[in-house]
Amino acid sequence: MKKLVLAAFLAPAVALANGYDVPNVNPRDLALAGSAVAAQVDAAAAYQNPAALSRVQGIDVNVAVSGLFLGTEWQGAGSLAGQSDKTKFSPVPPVSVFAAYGRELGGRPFGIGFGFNVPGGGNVFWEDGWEGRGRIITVDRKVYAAYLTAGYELIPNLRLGGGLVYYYGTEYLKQGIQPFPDAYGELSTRGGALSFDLAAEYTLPSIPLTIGADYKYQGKMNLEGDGKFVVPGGTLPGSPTPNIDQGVEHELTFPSVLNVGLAYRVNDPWLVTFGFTWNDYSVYKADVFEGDRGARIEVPRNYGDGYVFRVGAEYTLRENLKLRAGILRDQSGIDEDFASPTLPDSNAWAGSLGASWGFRQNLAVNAALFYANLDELEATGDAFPGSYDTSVWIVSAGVSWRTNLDGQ
Amino acid sequence: MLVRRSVLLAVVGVLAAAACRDVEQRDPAPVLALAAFDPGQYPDRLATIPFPNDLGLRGAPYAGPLRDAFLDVIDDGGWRESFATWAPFPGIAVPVWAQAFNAETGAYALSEPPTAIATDTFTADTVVLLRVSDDPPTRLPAAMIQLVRPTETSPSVYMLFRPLEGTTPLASIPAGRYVFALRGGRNGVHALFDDVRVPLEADRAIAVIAPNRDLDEPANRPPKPEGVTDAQFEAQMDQLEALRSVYALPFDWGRVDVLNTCVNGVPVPEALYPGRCWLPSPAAVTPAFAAVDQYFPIEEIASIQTFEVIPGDAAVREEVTP
Repeated sequence: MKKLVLAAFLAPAVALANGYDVPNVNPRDLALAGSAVAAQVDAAAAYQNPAALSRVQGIDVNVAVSGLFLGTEWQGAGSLAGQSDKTKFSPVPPVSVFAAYGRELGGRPFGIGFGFNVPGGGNVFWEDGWEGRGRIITVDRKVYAAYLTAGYELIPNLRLGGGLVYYYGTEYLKQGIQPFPDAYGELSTRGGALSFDLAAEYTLPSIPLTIGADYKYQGKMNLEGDGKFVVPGGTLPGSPTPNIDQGVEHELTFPSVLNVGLAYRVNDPWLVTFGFTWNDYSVYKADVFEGDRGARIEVPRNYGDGYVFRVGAEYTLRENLKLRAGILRDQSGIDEDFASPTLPDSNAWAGSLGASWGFRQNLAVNAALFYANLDELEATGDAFPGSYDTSVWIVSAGVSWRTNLDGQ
Repeated sequence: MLVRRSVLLAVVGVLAAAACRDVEQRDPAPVLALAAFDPGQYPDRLATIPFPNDLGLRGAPYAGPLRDAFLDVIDDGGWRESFATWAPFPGIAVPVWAQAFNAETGAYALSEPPTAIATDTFTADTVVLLRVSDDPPTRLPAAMIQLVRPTETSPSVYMLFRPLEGTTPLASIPAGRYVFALRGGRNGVHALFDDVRVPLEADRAIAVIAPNRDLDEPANRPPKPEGVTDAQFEAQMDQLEALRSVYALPFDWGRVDVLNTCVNGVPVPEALYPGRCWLPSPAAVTPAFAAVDQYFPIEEIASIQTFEVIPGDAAVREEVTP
């Protein structure tokens, strides 16, 4: 198996910290910085904690669209000191669409839900002629997920849930071939994988405290597609291993994730939520692209596990108006020796605000604003030299219909 | 329930398809025509720089055996009387070799050279001969006067060019420094494989330096090929950067001193060319790349050659093996 001449047909990228995770853009969850794993109140529980679906009554629909704006600024170091560049403005619109139905089953509350969202992806668009074009120009990766989950109250206050998750990944990558100004390689692949979800929720009988947990097993997607080299003349001249268009396979694992949380009703208007997320990013050691004409490209990543600590608060100002805020600290599993403009990842602080307004009976609009500031990352080792300063904005808005759950 | 899930997956699929850019493969070009920088036979070349090309020689000091997949072109030293052999002065020779795609191996390999050259692609935009010691450089018309067929010892075909006066090949050429360049690619000279026209491409060494990017900077370097060690790759980049520099910078040095007087000169490696050196030029002249770029983009150069004609002497001394 030959190694393709293209050294770093790279890989993935971002979204926001922790590898290529994308925050839950459902406005209520986003406004609480993802801390509401033990405080789900509507159909969006089909994703965040299916056990809570057992508290849905009747039909419940929750739909949201968002705009994710990610920007990275690079400052060169070493021989590239004094050079700088930044990614192009290129927003993406992750969606969150969920529906649920709840009723009694065997005398106990039961709910079923389905929907889809975009839990992962990368969105890096450098200028075609930037200094690091030999490492990466474009990463456009999306990991879609569809969920079919259910929750059941096994005994009073104890609810269990789970179901199926189907991940579907698409990616488009473009890398310049130096020193040829118009030469580049690109590939597009897609594929899916089935996984599962397990969840639980327990409300203490004596105090208004709910404990929740949700575990999603990894999705090992086998992406297939095509790779193409655009080189003046069709190939790198004189090379014994010229760049030949070929089919490409890429096994991409969306890591397992465990969310645990607490929701505490401090008093009537105040709900406080805490969350902890563990991402099994230690599975992300490399991106390996296998060509069907002998090419093989391996981009080492060497990730470790990622952790996120979350806190949120919801204040009921009036019966039909709720205000929310949240904050999180993300400890990424990135290895700085393998830092890359393909994946401007780093540890991050993030904060969020949001609100819901019930403007009609059983109909509410929800909105959230989220900002994450990733710690400046200094690339070391063989990484492309320089520092990367990344920030992310997400705005999200949606409607929820017939939200008819009991409050916390 | 299954129906519902299928519908969901279909929706996801449609969204995914709509959101991801497609890439379509193309069949590899069946054959490539390459203007050799080293006219020896791939992969076992003679490491000989054509034809005439004193800057190429100057820019490629002997660096020990680096014969490998990437750059067996400018290293091993020992140039032959190629100019005298193939292109009696004032002729200029451009060797052309070919690679054909082998579907079984999935790679290109040496193949029969082109059967002819598409002469209709020789135009003012594709063939450039300049006397760069003039300020500004003077353009001389040039034309291919002969196509030398391959032999047992030389598997390339050779395009032999001469400067013209009107439509007549010149028997001599005025003294001065010269740059000759052929344009390759879609807009350049084409080779013929029977009736099939194939754009002429630069050999790898020229292709890598033609964009005129500083190869000392790692970010500008091409990907390291398989089987080449880091040390070899560094040495190759050093060679190529030296080569690029001599085409990119003003000439500030002169011809080989045949009298073995290396005063202020840069010695040529002793083992390679004993007693010779390069002497400083009395006056800087237009760099080769800058001169060619006036007529077509230098990244489209397929072949570039430089030489000096000494007053009263119709010989290119640099090309004569001592």
